[in-house]
Amino acid sequence: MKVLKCLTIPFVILALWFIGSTVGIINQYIIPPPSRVLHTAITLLSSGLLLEHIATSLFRVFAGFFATVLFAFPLAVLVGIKRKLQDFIEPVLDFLGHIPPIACIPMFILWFGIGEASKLAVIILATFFPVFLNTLNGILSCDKQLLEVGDVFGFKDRDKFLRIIMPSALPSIIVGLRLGLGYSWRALVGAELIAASSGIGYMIIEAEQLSRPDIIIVGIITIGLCGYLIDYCFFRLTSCIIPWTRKRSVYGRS
Amino acid sequence: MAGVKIQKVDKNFYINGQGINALSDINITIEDRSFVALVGKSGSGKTTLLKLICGLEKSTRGEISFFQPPEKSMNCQSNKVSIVFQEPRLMPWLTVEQNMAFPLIKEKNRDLVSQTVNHYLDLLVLKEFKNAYPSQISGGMAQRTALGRTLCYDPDVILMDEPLGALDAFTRKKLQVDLINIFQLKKKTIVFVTHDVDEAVFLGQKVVIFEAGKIIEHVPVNIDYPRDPLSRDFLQVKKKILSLIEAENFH
Repeated sequence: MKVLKCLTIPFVILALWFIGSTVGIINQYIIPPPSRVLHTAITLLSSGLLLEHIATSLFRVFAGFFATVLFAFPLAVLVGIKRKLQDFIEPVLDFLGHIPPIACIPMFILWFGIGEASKLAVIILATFFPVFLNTLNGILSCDKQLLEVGDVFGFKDRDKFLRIIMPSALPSIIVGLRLGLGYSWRALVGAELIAASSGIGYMIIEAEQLSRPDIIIVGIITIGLCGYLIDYCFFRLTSCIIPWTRKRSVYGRS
Repeated sequence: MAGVKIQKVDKNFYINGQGINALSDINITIEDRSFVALVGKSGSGKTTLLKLICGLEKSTRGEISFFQPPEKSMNCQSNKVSIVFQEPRLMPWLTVEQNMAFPLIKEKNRDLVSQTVNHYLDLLVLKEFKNAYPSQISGGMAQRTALGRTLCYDPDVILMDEPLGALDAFTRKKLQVDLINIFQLKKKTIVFVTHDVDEAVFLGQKVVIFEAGKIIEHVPVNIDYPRDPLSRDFLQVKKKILSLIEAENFH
């Protein structure tokens, strides 16, 4: 039933699109009919071209994402432990946080060329903030009452960090990773639109130059679907790590 | 095994530069393996005293020391202190069983740990719910888990800060009885804070009455466990405590 509800709006749009194209209200040069888009999608899939672009983009996202996590996470932990570092870092981050990663692309192209390095740089920039800020926030917002429990049982600082602070920060860390993954996917497609020779973004910009709106639509739908699937898989994988946050069910009487 | 000697303890807090005298001239001797109830209105300094005893806060003046019973040999002295808070304060990411094993994280002998945890799961009737998370259990079960966690730590002195305050009357009554059974079985020193005079008289071998950071009176309760709250002796002690509190309020 829920699946049906989810599909209602896409189905209505598809139906309007189909009817509009058939009746002739919609200009076919601006919005090609669904049948042509479907045909293009099948051609691109069977030639392997679409999958190749998807694979290139996905590889960039995962490489960039892991590179970011490798340094954003330890940095957040360090700032979380050494509170004095916060005064140095906070204003800088507040400033950088307002700059969209896309705005830095021209500079990255000057520095790194249009190869993989500039794409990685964009992804790292896009992923850094959600991962860093959510990890830091998770560490700083640890319940003082739970830390007192550690004190009462004679825990050392190290034990308190590993046994109380880290597990309590875990849900927030995972939210940060999930947001970061979404941001990096969007930022990457943006980067590929500006400068690339492969990837989904490149496929779209190339189609614009060839006046092929059908390919553009296939590209846009692919971006949405891939983003959705990445997020869904990530959510599924991580909800096993934090089972206590699942929906509450009360076990009978006391 | 250990008793607690509290001598001339003062505690001042500073809030917005203004000194507040939370405790003044507190003297109590809590005998080894005795059950002492501290009773008084909220804000009378009971919780502060518990925090001083377990080292979460430092006293401004005076001394808190632990002593061993004379029959105990000098070479196996210990004075482990722990507290059961007003809120259960369970780790939300651990199950009931894991929460109870929480203080024993450093223990190498895992068999001993699971033995201890199982023992208290049985004693507190939590076995059925050992795999539930704190968000899935009722308040009474959560408070029993918190009590079990402290018992697993095996302290010599257990401090309790209104641990039953948030529970309904039935659950509360049952846990009071459980507590007395555990006290008699495990031979611990227990300091129990409450604002409920009935509860204090039901549990304590000695009731210490607090008022505005001072002790008004120590009232011994020489009634055998289990106590009947409707018996004449019980009502007599209760009446005495209530009149002492009332007299203080009319001053």
